[in-house]
Amino acid sequence: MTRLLRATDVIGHPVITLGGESDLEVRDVVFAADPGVVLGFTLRRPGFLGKPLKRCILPWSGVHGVGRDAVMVPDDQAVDESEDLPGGDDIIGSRVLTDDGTDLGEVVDVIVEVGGDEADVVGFEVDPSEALGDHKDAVFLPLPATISMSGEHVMVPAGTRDYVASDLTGFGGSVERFRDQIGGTS
Amino acid sequence: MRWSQTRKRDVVDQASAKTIGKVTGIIVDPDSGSIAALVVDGSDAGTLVDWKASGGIGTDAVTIDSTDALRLPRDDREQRAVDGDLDLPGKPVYDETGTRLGKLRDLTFDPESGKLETLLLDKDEDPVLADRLLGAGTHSIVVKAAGATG
Repeated sequence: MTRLLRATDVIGHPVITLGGESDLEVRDVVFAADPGVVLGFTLRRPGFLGKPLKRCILPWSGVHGVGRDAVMVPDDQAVDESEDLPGGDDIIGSRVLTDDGTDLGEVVDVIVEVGGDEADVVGFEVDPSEALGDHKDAVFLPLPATISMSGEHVMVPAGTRDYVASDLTGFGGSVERFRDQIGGTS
Repeated sequence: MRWSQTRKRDVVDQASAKTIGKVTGIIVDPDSGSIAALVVDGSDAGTLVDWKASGGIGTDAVTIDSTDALRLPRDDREQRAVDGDLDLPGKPVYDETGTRLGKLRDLTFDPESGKLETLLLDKDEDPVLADRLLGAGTHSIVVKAAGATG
């Protein structure tokens, strides 16, 4: 069974072993673009003054489960203190640009589908531009399986604007229909 | 039997018929789903009694054959249990998918075998069957997802 999560909800989650131990929490979520998946997490010590730990990462392969409240790992070996996670650019704050040159808004969150082997990036929560009509609140846009992105822009097919959702209920179904019609196979 | 009823029960040494301390904690073994040892406070001879070395938890007392049954912690985990860091009530309970189910309020077990039966949470929800237990550490208690097999 798959579930949809917002990437920003995972920030601050404790990283807990199945044995019930936890020293660290999630600092940031790191994404790849091709294919659009979660590569893993960077970690920090818990607390207000929790310092980011350079070179302390949890690759997705080490994750047992990610949920509403915590990231679960089999044991403390899952956390790697010797590697950097080759990071994608920050997606949050990028502008969404269609391939015919229309700005659809600013990315405020990344929607991830978990439950399979990979954590797939399936959509964005976007602070909409006028091009998306009269939306006052953030909206959700589905994404193709492969994403073209820099720290500045994320490119989406022009037809994406026909698949705008106002909430996450049923968003998984929207993503499937979008990818069948426009976004290529996942 | 509930842990809340058992806590602070006297530990009586059969050889001398004396009360040598009180039970203040338990160490659970998630693999067997049983209580592995009792933490005893108030005795000079040691602070742990393996469940197998006790006569089980009786209605009024826990009996041991002699103070030879008392021993010191053998590893970090046992030391943490003696220090109270593994005290189960009050620990948050997470399932393996990363969902917090609540805080542990109490647990039930078979007083003769030490086998855990249920975990009772603070939220007024159904008890969690103890065969779902995956781990009990200093941070939290972890259980299998509901409906998980194996």
